[in-house]
Amino acid sequence: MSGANGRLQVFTSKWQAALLLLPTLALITVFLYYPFLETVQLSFYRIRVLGNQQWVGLEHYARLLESETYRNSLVVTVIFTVVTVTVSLLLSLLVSFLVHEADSLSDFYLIGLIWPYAMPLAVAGVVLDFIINPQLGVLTYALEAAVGFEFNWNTDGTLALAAVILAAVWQGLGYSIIFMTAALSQLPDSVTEAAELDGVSRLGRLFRVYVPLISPVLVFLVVLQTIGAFFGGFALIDLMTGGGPSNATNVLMFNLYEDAFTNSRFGYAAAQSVLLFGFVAVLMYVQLRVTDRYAYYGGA
Amino acid sequence: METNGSRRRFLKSTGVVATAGLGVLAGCSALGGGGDADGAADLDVGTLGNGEASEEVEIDFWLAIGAEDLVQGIADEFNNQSDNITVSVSAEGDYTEVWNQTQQAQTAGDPPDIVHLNAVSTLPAWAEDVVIPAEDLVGTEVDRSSFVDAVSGYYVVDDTLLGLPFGVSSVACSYNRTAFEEAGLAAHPDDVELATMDDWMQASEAVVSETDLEYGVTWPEIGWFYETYFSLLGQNVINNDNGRSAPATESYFDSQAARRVYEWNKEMYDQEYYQLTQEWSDARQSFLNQQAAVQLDSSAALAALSDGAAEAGFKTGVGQVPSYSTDSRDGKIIGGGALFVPTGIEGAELEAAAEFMLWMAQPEQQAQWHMSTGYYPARPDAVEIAEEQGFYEESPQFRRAYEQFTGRAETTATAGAFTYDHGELRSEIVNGLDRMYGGSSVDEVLSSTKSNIDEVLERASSADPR
Repeated sequence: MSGANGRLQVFTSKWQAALLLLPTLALITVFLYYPFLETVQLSFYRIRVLGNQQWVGLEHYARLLESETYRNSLVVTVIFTVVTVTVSLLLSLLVSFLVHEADSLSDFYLIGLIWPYAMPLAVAGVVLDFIINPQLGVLTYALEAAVGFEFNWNTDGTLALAAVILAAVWQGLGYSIIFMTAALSQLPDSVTEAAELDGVSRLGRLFRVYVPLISPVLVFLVVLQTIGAFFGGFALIDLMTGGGPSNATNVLMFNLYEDAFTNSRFGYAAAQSVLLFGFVAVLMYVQLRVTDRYAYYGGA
Repeated sequence: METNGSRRRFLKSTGVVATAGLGVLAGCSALGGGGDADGAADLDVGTLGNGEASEEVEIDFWLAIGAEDLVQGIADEFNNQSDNITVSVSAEGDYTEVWNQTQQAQTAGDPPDIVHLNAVSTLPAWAEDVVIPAEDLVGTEVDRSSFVDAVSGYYVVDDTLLGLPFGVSSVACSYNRTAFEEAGLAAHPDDVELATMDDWMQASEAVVSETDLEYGVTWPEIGWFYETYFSLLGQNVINNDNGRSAPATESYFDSQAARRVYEWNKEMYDQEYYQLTQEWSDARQSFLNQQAAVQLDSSAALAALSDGAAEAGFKTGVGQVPSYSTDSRDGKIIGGGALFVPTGIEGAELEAAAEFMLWMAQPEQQAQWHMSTGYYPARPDAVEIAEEQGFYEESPQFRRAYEQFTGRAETTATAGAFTYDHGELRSEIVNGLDRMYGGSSVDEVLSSTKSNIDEVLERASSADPR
């Protein structure tokens, strides 16, 4: 069935379509839009104990703008996101390329690479902590014995952030690899053959031929990983550093959680939640606009 | 325990005819936030103390420190004796989780009947009408003077007993006796020298140079330990009598006592005598793996530590949390939690909750709990029961820790700080320590910690209804 504008039309009745969409819309409304609106509303109240609230208007937003802790969290989150997404995507790309090029055992490699992703973040955090804990970690102990360098991220904020980023990159690698290897395997062999005949080097083939061709997948991954880094990483940070030392790993999400559930400042935390949503929404818009220009979706 | 015998004792000690008015409950909203505290108006209070409610009722008890089976075991004894009250215990996560879930349940209109909250939640719980003060609930049925001073010192505010202490602890010191012997130090608990900061420094030096252990001491980076150092030195943490006579407005991180503690701490760290550990479990692991010879922990962990050490092949003893000198040793602050009944509980449920709270406050139950966990009992007569049963012959470390806890000067310093945002105060202590271990000077750390905590206090005092 074709409509007047040439689009495929499965349902002739708009009511029928609406009816079928209703369950999804109802779920989204109940579990997403309603809580979101309620969060916005809560952000205008001082709530030290649930159930007791006083209207404070924009006071929480004003305090957030002035708060040094909050500014620090924003900077930490941006660093965490930029480094995690960049390193994670580059590594995934290289690894996916190697798996794609492997003549044998590529399934075996793939399973091994995807494995960490199947691990819940909390488990990944515990495992990583066991390996790189400054005092008790098996790897830190060996490293310190071998090179004499003290890898103490309990006291060094930069190292702590690096440790958390390392954990996030490691844990998230599998996800990108699934998409990238799938995208690479969709490329016609003729592209590879043509590149080889033209004498393009191996890395050149990856970055000049494959990357432009799989760019829609890359755009998708950049956007998704950025959202993930802004909202995620909580479990890792909670288990590995608790936001420390001295707030060096206190990302926005962790700060928000601490204010809500440890410090019982629910209204203040709600305001942070609204701002975080705003940051990510703006970022997504910009990212999609910018990356779209570079993504190749076929056609002329 | 003989069921009938203890029932009789229970009835005798609590008085069959209750004089306490549950009717005074309505008064608890005087401090008033927004909680609904008028639930008790319809109560017939004439029967309080008989272990029964006016009708058949099941009550929920949310526990914060695990040990669900153990506490259910104690509750089952109560259930067996009561004809119409059934208490069911459930472990609902840690203190913070119980605190948050209690509020959620209250908002949803279905709070549990008894909750186990951390000491630091006492003020917000009371100020915001989350709970009914224990005093209003069980009135004179629980004789405050029967509690150890440390307990009443913390939980009695404005002459009102706020919570019924349960799972009381303090900071306690365990040391590796085997390592002390190897290092040529006095190792018997009666002789061991760990009373002062200098003692700790010297013991660490001996352990590090004479044994294979890498560090002298360790303790997790927890604010409570530093508040204990303050109290041992007789120093209030915050002004206005440690926040007890009025909401505090200023902290004492610029005091001589604070400087002594932090300078000692930094020196111990710089000399690599002190092993910095983050979490409770990290410090325990370090002690049991014989990386550090002395460890500070909650007294509630003493049993687990000595058992773990026995498995690892070394002996432990209970030492002392250090003070500046043996002359200045005021005592340790309280830790752990207390039982509260949330506002909104009414009728037979409220009656049953009050009955169960009274039962839990009795020396028999306190002794049983003490002997099974290592948490301190809230009252000294429970210690006598433990003594009679020969508990301390088998576990002398509990006796030692308890005596250290109770043998103290009753001052505002040892009563412990009392502020609305105590958790945030503790986080700022930890943030300051992080900066110190990261290389900041003691001066910088103390002054930034003071100003950060003063900011916390400023916000806290605006939320404090006193």
